Amino acid sequence: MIHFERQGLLWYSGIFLLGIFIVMAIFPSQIAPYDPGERFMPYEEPESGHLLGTNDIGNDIFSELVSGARISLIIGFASAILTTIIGLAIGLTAGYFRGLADEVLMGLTDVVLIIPKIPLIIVLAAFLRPGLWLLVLVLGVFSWESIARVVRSKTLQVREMGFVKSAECMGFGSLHIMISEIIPNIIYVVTPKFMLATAAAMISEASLSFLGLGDPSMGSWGNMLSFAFSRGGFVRDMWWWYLPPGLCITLCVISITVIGFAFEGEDEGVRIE
Amino acid sequence: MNMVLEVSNLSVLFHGSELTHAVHEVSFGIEKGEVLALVGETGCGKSVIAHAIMSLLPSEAEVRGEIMFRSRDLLRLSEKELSAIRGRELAIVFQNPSLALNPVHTIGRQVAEPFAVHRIMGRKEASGRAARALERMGFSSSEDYMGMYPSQCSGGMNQRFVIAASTILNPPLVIADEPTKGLDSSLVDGVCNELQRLVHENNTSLLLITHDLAVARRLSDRIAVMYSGEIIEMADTEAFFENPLHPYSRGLLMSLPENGFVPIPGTSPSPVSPPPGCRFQPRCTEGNRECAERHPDLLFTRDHYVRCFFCH
Amino acid sequence: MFFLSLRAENITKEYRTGLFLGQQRRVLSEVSLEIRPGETFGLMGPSGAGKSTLGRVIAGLEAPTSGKVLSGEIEISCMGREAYRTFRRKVQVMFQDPTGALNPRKTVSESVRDVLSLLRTPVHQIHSEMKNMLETVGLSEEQLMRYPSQLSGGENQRLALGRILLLKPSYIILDEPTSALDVSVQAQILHLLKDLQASEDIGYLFISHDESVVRYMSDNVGEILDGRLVTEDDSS
Repeated sequence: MIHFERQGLLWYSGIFLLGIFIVMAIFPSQIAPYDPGERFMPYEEPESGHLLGTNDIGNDIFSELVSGARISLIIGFASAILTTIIGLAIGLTAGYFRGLADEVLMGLTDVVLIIPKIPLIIVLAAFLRPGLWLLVLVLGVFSWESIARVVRSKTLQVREMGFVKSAECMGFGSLHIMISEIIPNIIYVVTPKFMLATAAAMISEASLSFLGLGDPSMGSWGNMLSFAFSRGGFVRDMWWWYLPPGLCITLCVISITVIGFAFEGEDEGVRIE
Repeated sequence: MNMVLEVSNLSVLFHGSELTHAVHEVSFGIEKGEVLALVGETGCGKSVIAHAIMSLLPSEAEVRGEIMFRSRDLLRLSEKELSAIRGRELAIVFQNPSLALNPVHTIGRQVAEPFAVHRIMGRKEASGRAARALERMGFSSSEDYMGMYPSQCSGGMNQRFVIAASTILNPPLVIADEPTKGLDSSLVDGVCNELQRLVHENNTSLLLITHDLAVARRLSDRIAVMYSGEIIEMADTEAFFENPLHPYSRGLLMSLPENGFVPIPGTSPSPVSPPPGCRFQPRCTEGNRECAERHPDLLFTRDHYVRCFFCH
Repeated sequence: MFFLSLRAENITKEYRTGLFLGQQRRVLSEVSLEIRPGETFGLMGPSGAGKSTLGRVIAGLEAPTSGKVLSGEIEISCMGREAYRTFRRKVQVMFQDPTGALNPRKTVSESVRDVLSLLRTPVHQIHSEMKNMLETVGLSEEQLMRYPSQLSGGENQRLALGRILLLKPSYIILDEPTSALDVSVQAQILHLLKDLQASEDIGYLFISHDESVVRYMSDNVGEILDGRLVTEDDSS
């Protein structure tokens, strides 16, 4: 059970904001007036038919924006899920078994820490077909160090507690203990890190797409920004093209981070007897 | 005016997910140089009273009644006025000294800290006072101890340092909240001696909160027994131990090792829904129907204040 | 119980300490004791003297630096897998600190179900087993949905004991079981322990720094001083 201690403006505003984007991601066709691939007159200014005008090939920018939510959020959350699962598994194993397993896994973590993600993606993109899932894979597989460390240190702490020792004494298997006894007691440090990993992944993707690396056909907000700048949107002062995706990225990341902070506010709970 | 502390009809309620009645209409007084022991088991409310006096209760606590300290009602003072009083006139020593001492500061610095906090004198002079306080405690080579860190000293020693630090400004009233909890018997001795010395040398009043009856007997002049948020018996210490009147008091003494570990059946009532009538009645071997229906008052009989229909 | 005696023979335990783990710290020196079935051996001594360590070694949770722990005539480090599994179940430990002995994120019901599924109790029997256990240790069914933080120290201790009892142990190592409890609650738990010992024929290694409690509970008493065990027979 997760208890939310920091109810309040912070928490609700984060949820509300993220909620908007999630709705955009789930029901793009209901919200967007047109299919983002449909072509109209290019370089149109905002008007009643096109809320945010059209881009260089005539796609409705507002529709692109709404569809982009799904892509950006999927990348963010999928990478974070991958990162969290790997970090949790490694941190738990290292912290619970200690000794050789700990040395090896933490050594591995240090190595991964050194690998620069963005250049790696660029290199991989050059050799493999760039795509959404490649991006998710790379971002997910090379960002788990921080979660692993935190999970390991919490595991080291929790495994010394009476109920874990008791479970060992009763003959429960290691896997059962790690999943049933330890995880519920450390999950509260993982949830804020999960949210931050999502935010980080979204920013990484946005940066890559903006630079024109990664997969230009994905249709993420980063891609939109990239095209806005490279296809004359900036030069023509078309703020309705380059501002909205940037704003969306920013607001989405802020809302996720804020929710992460709200999760952090939850602690074990202190009482006066 | 010999009364240092006078608590009148103090009640504390906690507004959490459920309404908890932690303390119910508690009244007692402490005179100058007197030691009053507040004893009871976990959940009886004695610690809550200590926190109420120091105004350290969390925001969800509702406090009613009066706490007169040197003719000022502590419950009606501002935070600024309270800060001036805490440490200087009213000190509290908590259990578990390892939580009260900062591991990265030396003992000397922490014992001298109250001088700095209340801006009484400079660091050098304060250090000197602290060293002398340690000497009076029995640490002959006090300079060595001044430079040590809490991690280098034992739990018992640290507890005594905490007492020294809390009382170095000679407050007229000291509250000790479970000062011997978790300490081995040899260390308990040291702490008790320290508190006794404090009372005798400086005529300090002491409110001793403890679940350890032996310590209460050793240190206190009067004793008040709490159960389920109320005082159920209050008397001079020796009179109490010789002849406890309330069935709970008797039960408590019977469960001591020297009396054969005789248990009191049942458990303490929940503070969320205390029983109507006498709160001890569900576990009491004496009594009759009246005890379950009417709530007894604290009345004076045979030299004790007792809250029991059966004892009068 | 068919179980044989639980014995420690010349247990020595050293730890490596210091910055580069070069220093040795000897916690136990040549300690030997025997816990007979259905009886209590009381272990006294100041805090940090090594009593808990000895308890863990005898329970098989920690390996001694030298010496043997024997169940009957078999040394536990030489046991086969099956034999060790049986040993593991028959020798249980009740840890100090009632608040840490139970998973704070699990309700009473969940904590008990865990043990019952470990024992592969058939689903239709789970409820009755749980009910019996609660009754044996003096807890009520209303508390099933509570979390440990909502129970008192005494109730937590009863629950911890109840879970252990489900395994039908032959020996329980009790490490300061009542040190954190109120005086009247301590009396209740001590009585419960005595009743259970009589009805279930369990041997106890009762560890406590409180001499009066140890003497009340034990058939044989020993004290750990400087890592060595001094028994009553020796000191007379």
